[in-house]
Amino acid sequence: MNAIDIGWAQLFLATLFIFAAGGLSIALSLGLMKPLLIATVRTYLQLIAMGLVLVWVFKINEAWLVLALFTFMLVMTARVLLQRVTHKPPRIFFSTLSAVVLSGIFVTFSVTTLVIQVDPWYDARYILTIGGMVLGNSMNGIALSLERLFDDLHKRGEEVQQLVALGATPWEATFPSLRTALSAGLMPTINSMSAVGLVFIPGMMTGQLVAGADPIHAAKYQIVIMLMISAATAIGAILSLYWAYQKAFDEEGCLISSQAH
Amino acid sequence: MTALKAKNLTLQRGQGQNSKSILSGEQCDFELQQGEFVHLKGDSGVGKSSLLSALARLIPIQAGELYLYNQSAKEIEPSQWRQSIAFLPQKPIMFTGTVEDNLLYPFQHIKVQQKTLPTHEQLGEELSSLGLNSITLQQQANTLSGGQQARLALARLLITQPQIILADEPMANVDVDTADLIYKRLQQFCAQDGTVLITRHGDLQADKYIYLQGNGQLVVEHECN
Repeated sequence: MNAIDIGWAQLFLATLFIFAAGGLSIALSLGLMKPLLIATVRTYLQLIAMGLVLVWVFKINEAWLVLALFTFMLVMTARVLLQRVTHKPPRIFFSTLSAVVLSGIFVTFSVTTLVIQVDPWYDARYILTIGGMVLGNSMNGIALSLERLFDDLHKRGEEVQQLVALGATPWEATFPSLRTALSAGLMPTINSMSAVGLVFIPGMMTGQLVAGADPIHAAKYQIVIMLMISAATAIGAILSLYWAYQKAFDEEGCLISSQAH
Repeated sequence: MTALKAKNLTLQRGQGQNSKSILSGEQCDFELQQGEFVHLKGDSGVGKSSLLSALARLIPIQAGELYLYNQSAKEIEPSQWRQSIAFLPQKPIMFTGTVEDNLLYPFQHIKVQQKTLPTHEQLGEELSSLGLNSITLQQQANTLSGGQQARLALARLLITQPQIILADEPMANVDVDTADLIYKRLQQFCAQDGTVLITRHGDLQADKYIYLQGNGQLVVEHECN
């Protein structure tokens, strides 16, 4: 069960499409050529480097190495997602990391040990690939949730402070924003669950089909993946929101940014 | 009975080099007796609004102690404290929705101590006591004039039945008749065992006056009858 290998010359051919897009950008003065080129070079370097690392990791395939890499992925997930969040209060890295760690580990290992029943339990071929998909997708959901929460709190600042003045706890004053934030974070996942198979064939299923897998076999894998991505996104978003909103308030329960007067 | 007591308050506005001392701790004491109507006075920028916010625990005090009916602020949850000591900001903030939504918001979304939902009749009475007979409960709150919003904000606060009201310039930006209605309603609140600390540019008939001096000190003066 092997896909046709892509030669280096063919890979370069694919790169020419980027030049076509870049050429259009130059013709229309859109200024996209430079970012496109940089992104192309990064794609080459990062994916080839990852391929080389995976060759090595798959060969060694020991628990400590897999866990070390997974830990690195968890920390990077929290770091990268927080870079996308504006209006965030200080000191939310550890609460976000905790949410990523709890949801990422729980969902990834539940699926690999209970559903797929990987043997040995730390098999890099499964843990790192499936873990990567879980983290990559839940990262987007958590980032969207946190972004919306703090943006909404920023916009509702006066209203929140008025609620606090009327005796609301931070939870009560934030609740409308929490609901909006959670729905913003989960909507893309829910939408893609509804559209999958009708509008698009997801990446993992495409990969398996190209590699010659039985379509039903590939579909079952994809269902597992979709469900666990939704679970990880929901758990991660709920936990990170629950821990993060408290950081926007001081110990007296007042919105921190509103004290600047 | 002492409703609110402040002892050796240190209060600053801002931080670092730009900070300004409002109260300096030593001898910065005052008490509000239950039922008293107290006028907080002082020049512009002296920190009257900040002091009101600090008494509502909306901004932190740097040192000193606050007591509500002889119970220390340290023993009372901030949200409970603010339900008893209600702060009315100078600029009224309306929630999205109707006049009724605004009046009932605290009952529907906050665990207020006063649990029974007010009836439409009670809401109507509260509005008319503030001269808001012309508005309906179904009207969108953001269509009200500034003066109407100011009174609606006061009505919203009154129906949660706080023990003390800290009102920051409630009579600014309203006409003379409206100012009179607000003043009378707050006096009536005091007559029913409520306590009021109010700021206002200009004179105001009150039971007691607290002057913020601007040098970190305050002076308390009783009305001489």
